[in-house]
Amino acid sequence: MTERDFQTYGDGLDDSRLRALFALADGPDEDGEAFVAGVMAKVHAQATRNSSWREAFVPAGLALVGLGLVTFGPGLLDILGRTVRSSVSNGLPGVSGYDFGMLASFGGIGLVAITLAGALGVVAATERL
Amino acid sequence: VNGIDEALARDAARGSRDAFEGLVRRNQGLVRGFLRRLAGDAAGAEDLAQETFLMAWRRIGQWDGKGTFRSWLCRIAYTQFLQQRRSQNAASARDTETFRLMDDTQDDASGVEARIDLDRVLAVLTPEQRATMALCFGEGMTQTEASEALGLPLGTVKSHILRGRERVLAAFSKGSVT
Repeated sequence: MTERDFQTYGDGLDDSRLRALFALADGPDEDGEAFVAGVMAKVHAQATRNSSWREAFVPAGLALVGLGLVTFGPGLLDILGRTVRSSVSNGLPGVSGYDFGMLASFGGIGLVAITLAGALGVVAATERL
Repeated sequence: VNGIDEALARDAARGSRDAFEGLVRRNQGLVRGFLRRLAGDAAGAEDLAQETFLMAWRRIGQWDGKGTFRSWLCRIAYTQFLQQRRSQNAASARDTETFRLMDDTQDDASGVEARIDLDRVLAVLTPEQRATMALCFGEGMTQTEASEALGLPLGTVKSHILRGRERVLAAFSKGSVT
């Protein structure tokens, strides 16, 4: 379809003529396989890269979780235990500010560590970054 | 046809590259055609199409199964196009300038003339009108699918098609595009 053809449409610019017009942008399709191959090569490269990430970060994430548990677990349990005992024996007003402070500190740091480890785990477990 | 893409997409979301390759093979014509019509630049459209599929691979896990897979894919393509356009020419009004002739291996006179026609048509349309009309008239999508693909309300899609049709007709009948 040429411009001259188009002008002969006049007011009759119906859907089929618009479809014919937009079909002009259809390129040759013989390079479809080459396109697919190009995309998949990049996908494979990306997946390989992500796999390397995963190999590096899964152990790191697990180590961080372990470190967090070993470092903060006993402290947290101790503080929690003392807080509960103190609360039970004296009621909440009896809980010392020290206990709450320690609980908050250990809890906060531990939470950050475990969250970081979890985030790394999620990233590592996802093949596509 | 519907349902095959969706099944492949579910497999691809579980990490199957073979399934994703099937999706690329089935939808490459759609995405490339849409971007060619949208961008008016065959070489640029090819790059955008590749980026679209790579983005789809990265985000395949986010496909929620609402709507068709191809409308989801076209939405990624449209977003890629808008982002590239925004970064390339923040200031210049590419919409109003004549698009470059599309790169093609054909060099017969009628082919060139036909492409000029399409370029001129695209040049009088806003990007939204171009995207909407490219999907509906170029890719055979329904208006509902186009609204899903572009993230626009159905009424807006209808309005873009109506106004786009008027623009094309007016531009050529007035001879403003010669």
